[in-house]
Amino acid sequence: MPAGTKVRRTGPLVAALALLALAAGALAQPERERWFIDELAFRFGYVDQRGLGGQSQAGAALRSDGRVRGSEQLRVINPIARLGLRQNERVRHVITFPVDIVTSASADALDAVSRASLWNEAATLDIASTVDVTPDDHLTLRYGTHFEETLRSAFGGAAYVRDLALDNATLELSFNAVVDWFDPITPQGFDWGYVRRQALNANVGVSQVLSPTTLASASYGITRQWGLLEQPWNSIPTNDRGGTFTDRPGEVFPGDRLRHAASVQLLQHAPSIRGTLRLDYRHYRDDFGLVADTARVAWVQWLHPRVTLEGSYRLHAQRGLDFFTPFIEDFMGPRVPRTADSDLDDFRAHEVGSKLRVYLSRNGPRGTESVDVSYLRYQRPWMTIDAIGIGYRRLY
Amino acid sequence: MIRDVVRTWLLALPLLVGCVVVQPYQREHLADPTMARDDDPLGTAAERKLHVTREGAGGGDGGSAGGGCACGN
Repeated sequence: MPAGTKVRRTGPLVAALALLALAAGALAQPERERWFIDELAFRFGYVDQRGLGGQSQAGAALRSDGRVRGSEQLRVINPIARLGLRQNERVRHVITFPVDIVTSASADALDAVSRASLWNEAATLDIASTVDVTPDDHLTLRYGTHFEETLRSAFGGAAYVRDLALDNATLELSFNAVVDWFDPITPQGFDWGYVRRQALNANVGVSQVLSPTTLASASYGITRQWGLLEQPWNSIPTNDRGGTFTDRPGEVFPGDRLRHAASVQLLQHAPSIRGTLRLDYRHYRDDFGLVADTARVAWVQWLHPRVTLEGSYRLHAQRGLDFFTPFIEDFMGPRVPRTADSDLDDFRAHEVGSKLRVYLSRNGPRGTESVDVSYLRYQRPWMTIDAIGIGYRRLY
Repeated sequence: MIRDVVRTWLLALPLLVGCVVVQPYQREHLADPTMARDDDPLGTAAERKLHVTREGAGGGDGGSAGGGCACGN
């Protein structure tokens, strides 16, 4: 049969198929405009903390380092859920819902009577809505609320991300605001009534592809906080021998704090051995005198086309607050800054972690679906924390 | 304080200059899941919560403290 005849016979068929495809596309258009789930993730975490801190009255006694320390033992059950919702091709929402169930959240003298912190439940609703204004410009609005006993918190913010140089670089600017309302009760049981504290934060960040296997990013954030910044349940030992703790004054912070945090990250993939090196460094300082450097190194190795194993080490070195006060010997005015909170003291913390992830599917008909199990140990003088997590994530 | 911030940015600067433009067809390895800047958002959030609550230097970089505490942000 001549070739021309074949063309004449298949031509109408091709045209019909093309029309059918166009019609199908037109019919499918409303389908894409419907809301649908494009990400689903759950994580269950458990934290076991054992430690002794200067701010705690629970079993406070003179310890071998000459400081009076009380128990900071607690356990946390921490389920988190995350839902990604695609509204249309340009708008996406991510809803995160963490819950914390904490035992002995603020062990102090009041607890002996009220058991107020035997169990402390907290929940947060965090929503981020992203609009792709253009293929290279993305605007995210973030908003949410937090509930925790007498504390209520609301937060909101906006972020702008610009993709540059054929998506080889991004520039990100963001602003956030947080307001907390809470009803503090001093260690002596005095109720201050509802008070407020606020925070405003601005960040700038850049990321850059350095090679087909290297990615780098850097960011800087500045935060101003004001209001009642101290933790009302924290108190300070009144002598250095551990004899009398019945009249421990509460900690006092200045009413204004300016914080700076700068960080860099480098990711290097090694295709020949199917592994990735992840390096992070962060420098922090604030006008309370707290200065800290944090470095983290992690290696993620493909053990199998569907299995990765991550090992990590993190070092945090911190110089404590200028007004850190391990115990009070002489009279201090009611609003003279002071704290015995061991989290704000000088220390070095070491953390090791590991995570095993199994991909149930990768870019298959069910999308990408994975489960993971992780463990980390955080250790510093007078404190050890063990944390385990089990996670599930599906990207549709 | 400003000096330290500038120092950190200067350390980061060599990473950000002299870069080649990697074409989309060269990004196979950049698309590897292990190269995602945050490949486990919930795990990262849980770790961040641990550090924010236990270290005075936690937070200050825009993420929610997760404990409803503006002190950590």
